[in-house]
Amino acid sequence: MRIRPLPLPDALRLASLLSPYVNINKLNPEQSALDFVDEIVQRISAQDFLLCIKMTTNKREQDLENMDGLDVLALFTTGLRENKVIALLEFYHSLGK
Amino acid sequence: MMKINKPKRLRLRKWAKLEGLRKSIREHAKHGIYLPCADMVYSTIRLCGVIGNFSKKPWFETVEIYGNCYLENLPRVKFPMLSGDGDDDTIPWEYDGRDWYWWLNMFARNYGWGESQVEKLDIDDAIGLYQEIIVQDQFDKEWQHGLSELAYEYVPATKKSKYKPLERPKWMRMTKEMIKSKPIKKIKILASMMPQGNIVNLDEEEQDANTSPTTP
Repeated sequence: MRIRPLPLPDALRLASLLSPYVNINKLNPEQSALDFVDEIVQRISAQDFLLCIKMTTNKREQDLENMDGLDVLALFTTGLRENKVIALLEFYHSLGK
Repeated sequence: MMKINKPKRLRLRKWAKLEGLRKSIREHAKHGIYLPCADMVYSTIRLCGVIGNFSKKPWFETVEIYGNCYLENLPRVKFPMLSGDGDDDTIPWEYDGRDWYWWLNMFARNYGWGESQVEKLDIDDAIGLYQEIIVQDQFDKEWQHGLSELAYEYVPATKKSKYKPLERPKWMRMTKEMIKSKPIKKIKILASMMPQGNIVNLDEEEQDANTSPTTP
């Protein structure tokens, strides 16, 4: 399944969902992508997690519920990668400055 | 992939609108209202003459063009007056779109220019002229201040009045401070070559340093 980068309004919505779970000022440049995603997954609510995947994949909640947990996690990770999530969050925070 | 044209450098009227959009985006984002920000980003891009359908484009391509719009419309000259503190507390008479009327009023009032002349200005010309207006205004105020008795503060200790210059904006003060920071070279002068008679120095600071008698 192809995950496409989001247009600006949806990307800003994704950023607003993720921003409570990522402190953009305290990112460790040595941290691997896997650790970065792991940190989010540890803290994110199930509702926000599903919403993020639904936004980046256009999948329905029922489709996700029938999928393997690891596949769902892979979808989440790919969605973040395709949407260059760190750059997105930096842009999101820069708007108010 | 469709080729996107380069953003235009805007003339003053449209530039003021661009400034208004930037302020509006910042205000909305400060209050956590992000959805209208996307529309305002699209408006900014359209205002700069970039043609294309951005509603389907990945956000990072849109943001790159948006950034280029601002870069293209930044002042190219480093004006001293722009290196201020950046205090921009909202004033009670502020409203959406005031930027343009502010520029128009300033040039109309100072140069008697009309709308058609002001709107065609490049932003560097506009800021350069604005700085000159402020400098001239400051010099005029300093001249008037110098003529007023408020400028001469009575110092009871010396029983004399001391000139109290009018404060300058920070960016105008810098040159003065730079001159001040240069130490004055002391030159020894023969007593026989010193001026004769009663010397009145209006600058109290210098007067204190030179209180030694003028005749040996």
